[in-house]
Amino acid sequence: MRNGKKPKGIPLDSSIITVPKPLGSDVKPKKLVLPLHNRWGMLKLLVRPGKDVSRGQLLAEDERGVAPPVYSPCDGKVLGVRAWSNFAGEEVPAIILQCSGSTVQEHAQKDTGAWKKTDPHTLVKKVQKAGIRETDAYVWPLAWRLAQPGLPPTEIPNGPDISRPIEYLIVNALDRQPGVTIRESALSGRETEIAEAISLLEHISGTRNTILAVRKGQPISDSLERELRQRGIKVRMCPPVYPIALEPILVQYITGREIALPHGDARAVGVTVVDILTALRVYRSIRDNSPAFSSPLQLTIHGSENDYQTWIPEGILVSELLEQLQFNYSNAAKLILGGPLLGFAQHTFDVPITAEVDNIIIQAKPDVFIYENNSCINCGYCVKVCPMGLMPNELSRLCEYENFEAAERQFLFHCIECGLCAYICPARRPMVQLMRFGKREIGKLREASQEQ
Amino acid sequence: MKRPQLHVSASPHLHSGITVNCIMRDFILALLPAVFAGWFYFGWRALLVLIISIAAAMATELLWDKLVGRPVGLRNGSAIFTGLVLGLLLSNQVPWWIPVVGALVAIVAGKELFGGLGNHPFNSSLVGWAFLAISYKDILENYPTPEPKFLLEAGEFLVDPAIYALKDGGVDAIIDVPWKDFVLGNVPGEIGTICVIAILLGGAYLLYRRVLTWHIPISFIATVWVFGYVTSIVDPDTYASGTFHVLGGWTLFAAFFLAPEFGTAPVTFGGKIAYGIGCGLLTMIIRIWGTYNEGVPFAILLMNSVTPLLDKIRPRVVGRVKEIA
Ligand code: SF4
Ligand code: SF4
Repeated sequence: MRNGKKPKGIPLDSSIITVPKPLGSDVKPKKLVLPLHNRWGMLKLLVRPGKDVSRGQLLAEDERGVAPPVYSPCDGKVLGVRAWSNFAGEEVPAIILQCSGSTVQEHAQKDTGAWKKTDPHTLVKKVQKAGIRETDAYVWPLAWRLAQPGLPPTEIPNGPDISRPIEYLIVNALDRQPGVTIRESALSGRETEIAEAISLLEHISGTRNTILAVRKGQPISDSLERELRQRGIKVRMCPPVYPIALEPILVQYITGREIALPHGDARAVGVTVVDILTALRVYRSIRDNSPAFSSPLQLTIHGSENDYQTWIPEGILVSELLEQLQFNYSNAAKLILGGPLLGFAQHTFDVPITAEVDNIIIQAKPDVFIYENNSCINCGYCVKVCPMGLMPNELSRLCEYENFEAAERQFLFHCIECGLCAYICPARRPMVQLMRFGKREIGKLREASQEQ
Repeated sequence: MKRPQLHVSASPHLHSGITVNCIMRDFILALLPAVFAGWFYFGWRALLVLIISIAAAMATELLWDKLVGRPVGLRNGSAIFTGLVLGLLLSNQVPWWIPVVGALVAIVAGKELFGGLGNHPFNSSLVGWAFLAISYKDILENYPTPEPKFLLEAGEFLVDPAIYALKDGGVDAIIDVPWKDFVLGNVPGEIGTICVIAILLGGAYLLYRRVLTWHIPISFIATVWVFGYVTSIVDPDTYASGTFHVLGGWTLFAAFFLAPEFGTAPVTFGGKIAYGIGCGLLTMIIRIWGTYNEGVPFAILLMNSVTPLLDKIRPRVVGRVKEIA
């Protein structure tokens, strides 16, 4: 049992990080599972089961043009649509594809620079069409957050408010959680690509104020620094403490502006945050004029003794990825998609990896933390660590005793589920679970009252 | 290959590793210097009182758990802590049944009736102590002069605890006591509260381990000092100095081991500061103008009762729409 000093937040540059090994770059999945549902809605299937499809073919899209569409990452055949557990553990309809042939194209293409002459509105439409899913829980898809005032990629009723120009474009190269290093490694070795990607976003958003957020103490190569300086992109060092990289906190740290919660729309205060990995995917997609169907992934098995980084085709099952590593299942006790503090534990290895997931963790039995239904001892540690200024002790009790209205009055919906309260709670209470329970029940109550 | 069953839980999937047991262990470790001081000045009898008190507290908790059908077990060491603190608040001269009765009241009426650790409104050790102080005042107030085991000579400026002497004899009674005696604890008093150095060691350990935050202890001590300083400036012949009020009596012990008890103290920044100041003010008011000699215990019990109110002094919630627009 460790009993170290209690940090305010959790250090991000923990020494547990080893040099990640690359995973065999030529991933050849036999089967891909592509969920048809995400946080912005349900996609409509455009191909019939049994049909052959080719690489890059549009498989499903949102009729309203909001949710990112789904493309086929490989040549193959549509086996059907079935309910399947997604990265967050929800059962959603998903396309099952049988693959023939390879998927990922890692060799970089030459940049013709055509995008520099294309107007931002056309580009923003391309971003919308590229099928880009992101790791953070942003309120609106990337295309809307990047769109210039009055020029949304598609017209939607009650769409986001984009009347305000983008005053700050924050490109987030901070890894979000302890032990995740994928953004940091993405910065080295592809300096020009990174700089071009940021320039592209700047071009689309029409902002003059672009900031690359990196971890304080992170080495930045001279060539990258030069590239950035030439383009007038500022670099901002951020304290290496979780949860600095989460949108509301990062925006407040860098710009001093506060995003109105619970909606959490940064665009409304003139700020757009884009993950560096997303920036790279956008850039590649526009440069190669192809949808984005591969995404970077870090796979951490049993602590960090085995840490892999690779680009995978979206929709590959965890089990298939592990098969390629000849993974020995015998010690695995917990599978987590999405990082140690924000991720979702899975009940099966047959879960597809989509671009919402940047990190997969497999924990062995001794590493699995077990929550207990203990009562709160009112130590107040959680109050001290909550980045949103909430009182998690009280909120968790209100949710536990199903006093949801009171919880809502105490700003339950301002909780960003960062997990720090549960991380610190000495009574081992399942804090985030209680918060989510409260939010879900309130949602249900609202729906019920609207139906009446 | 056969795949194992997977464990599923909500996020996060990491924990700091600090549990209630660790915290209680830290509290008990922090009290060890005071325990040592108790033995040093008051001999083996002092340890006997502590042991009886701890044993009685543990036995009570065990029995209570059996009685109400909770999983039996001294789940988290909090009974040891309560018993130990209670014992340290007693004189080494008390008969054996005093700590037993005190621990019984502390555990049952002070804690378990309300649902156990963290849910009790009043400091559990103080509830036990207050019961004893009210019921058996004369038995409790039997304070021997300390007899240091080695190195030191017995301090002989006082025959009563300093605060009692001040109340009875005014400033003249305590003006000549050397500061050294207070700091080393070479004065009559309870087992655990006399030795300033020992208490500060424990307090520093708690702050270093971040078991406690500085807010309550520091605001408590500072208030007592400032109050004493101001009154002694106004009328040095009637009122003792701030330093005396901090070093003599229970102030330091209470600031680290009584006032911040989890569940009975506020948890917000503003609440903690207000609570510390309140404890300090009430302590001084009772000490100077009240009928009790030592103001600390009733000051804390009173402040415990307003803790829920003080917790309304909340941190600013990030992202409140009205304030932004
Ligand atoms: S999970 Fe919610 S309540 Fe807990 S610390 Fe994070 S924001 Fe605060
Ligand atoms: S950290 Fe846990 S035990 Fe402490 S106040 Fe918060 S919920 Fe209660």
